[in-house]
Amino acid sequence: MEDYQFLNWSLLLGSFGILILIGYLSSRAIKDSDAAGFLVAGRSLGPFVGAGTIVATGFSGWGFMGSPGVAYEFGSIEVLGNFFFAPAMVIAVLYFAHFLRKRAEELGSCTIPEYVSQVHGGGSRIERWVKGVAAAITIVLLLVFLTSQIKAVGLLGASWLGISLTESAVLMIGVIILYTMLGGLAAVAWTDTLMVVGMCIGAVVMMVQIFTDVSLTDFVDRLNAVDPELLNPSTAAPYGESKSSVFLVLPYAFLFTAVLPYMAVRFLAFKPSVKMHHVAIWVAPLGCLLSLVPIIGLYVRIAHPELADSDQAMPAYLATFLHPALAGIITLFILFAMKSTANSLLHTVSSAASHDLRTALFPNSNASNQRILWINRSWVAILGVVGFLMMLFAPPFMLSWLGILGSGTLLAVMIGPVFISSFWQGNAYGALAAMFTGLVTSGSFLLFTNVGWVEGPLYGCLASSVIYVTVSKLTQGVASAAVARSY
Amino acid sequence: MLSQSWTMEWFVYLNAGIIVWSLLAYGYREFIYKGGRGR
Repeated sequence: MEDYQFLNWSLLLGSFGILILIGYLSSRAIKDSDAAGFLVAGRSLGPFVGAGTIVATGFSGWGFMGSPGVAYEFGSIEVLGNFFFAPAMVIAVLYFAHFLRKRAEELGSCTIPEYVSQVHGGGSRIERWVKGVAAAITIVLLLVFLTSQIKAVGLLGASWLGISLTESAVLMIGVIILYTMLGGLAAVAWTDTLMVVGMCIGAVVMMVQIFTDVSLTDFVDRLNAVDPELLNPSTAAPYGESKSSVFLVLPYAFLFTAVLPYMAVRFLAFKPSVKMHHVAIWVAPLGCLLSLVPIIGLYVRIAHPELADSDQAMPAYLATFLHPALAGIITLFILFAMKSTANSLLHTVSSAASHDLRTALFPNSNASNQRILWINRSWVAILGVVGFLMMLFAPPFMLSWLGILGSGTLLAVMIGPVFISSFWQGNAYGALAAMFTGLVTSGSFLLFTNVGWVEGPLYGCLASSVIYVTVSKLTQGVASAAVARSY
Repeated sequence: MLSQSWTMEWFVYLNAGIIVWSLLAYGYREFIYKGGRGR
């Protein structure tokens, strides 16, 4: 076992070296001479790197650790539910990304809060309010999500390397901070692309192992022998009572890709000449490959139906069915899945603080490009450390809950100003009201009721969208007067 | 085989569907509709 621990350390340190090298090379390639270099990779992403970073960020550690656990407990409904992220990403890339990129390019937006404020206009004062509020909510909710990702990556790294959670979390977040500071979004996107390749290799290796061990017929028969509900459920639990509830994941995942600042900012970072069907042709196979991973939960269920904790499905699989050396490599790829989400979250929260909040609070600042770059980099380090400290003090049960609360609620906050505004243009007052409504509604559903994790944010989205339109219509006169006063 | 599980039936058909859709979108944009910069 000691030999394999040495191998695990070698894999980790080797991967760290490569990630930091990519961060360095990307900083050289992009030449962070202005804010757009750090914030949107100088709008330089090509189809494959763009697709890689979208898929890697969207498929977090949940797909590798949480989802197989849910599949172990509830069966194939989770395989279907988790899969919907793949078509949702393809739809968002094909039918929304071009619009968002074009409009952001025309306005000169480098982040989603900035885009929201510029799209709604209304005079410099109200624009600053919209940008500041969007940035503040983004920071709070995504820091919560980042905390859960740091804890997840720390826990897995600790058991893999035989060290404590704190030591492991310091190592992982330290490297993420380093390469994100070096190269900004370009470093995040390039490392994501490397990591998504690793994640896909991991998925293929595990599927080959499973289906060379059991035939499909045998697999179905043995699952039915354990419980026929696993393959043919009469409800969509844990997604809801009605079978159709699982299909709600598709609109949820579409909004997740199109609206969340750490996903949607990738659309702003594409080269203007990149055609979105060239991106979708990569997103589809990568997403489909990664959506196979929860099948592992079903496989472990037929081999070890007695697991006390379903969350142990993936660790049990790695320990039981793979050679320790191969299990070590697959664990590295699972760490990649978590890190590729964590680095995107860190980049987005630090951009919201260093760019959006700064320009909202100090609109007349004349800081040089060099100084702005160092402000951006400093905030990456500051918020990385804050996320780590929050992880140390967050109650253990909150691990997955924090992720759902952070991303789901932010989705309800952003739907009106980012998505509804693409086909019905509201004003800044509508955007502000929609953001508060989404925050309160989705947050309350998730914190104080028993509705599912998909339903709560979707109710929040509905309320937020209605308020966006209603308040924009009611304040049409006020908004026009404010614009007139500001000029 | 697939008819034994409505979830896996949807899973397989939707997987195939999204790959075919992305290919059709690629073919359409690349060879039939060429309007719009960067679209």
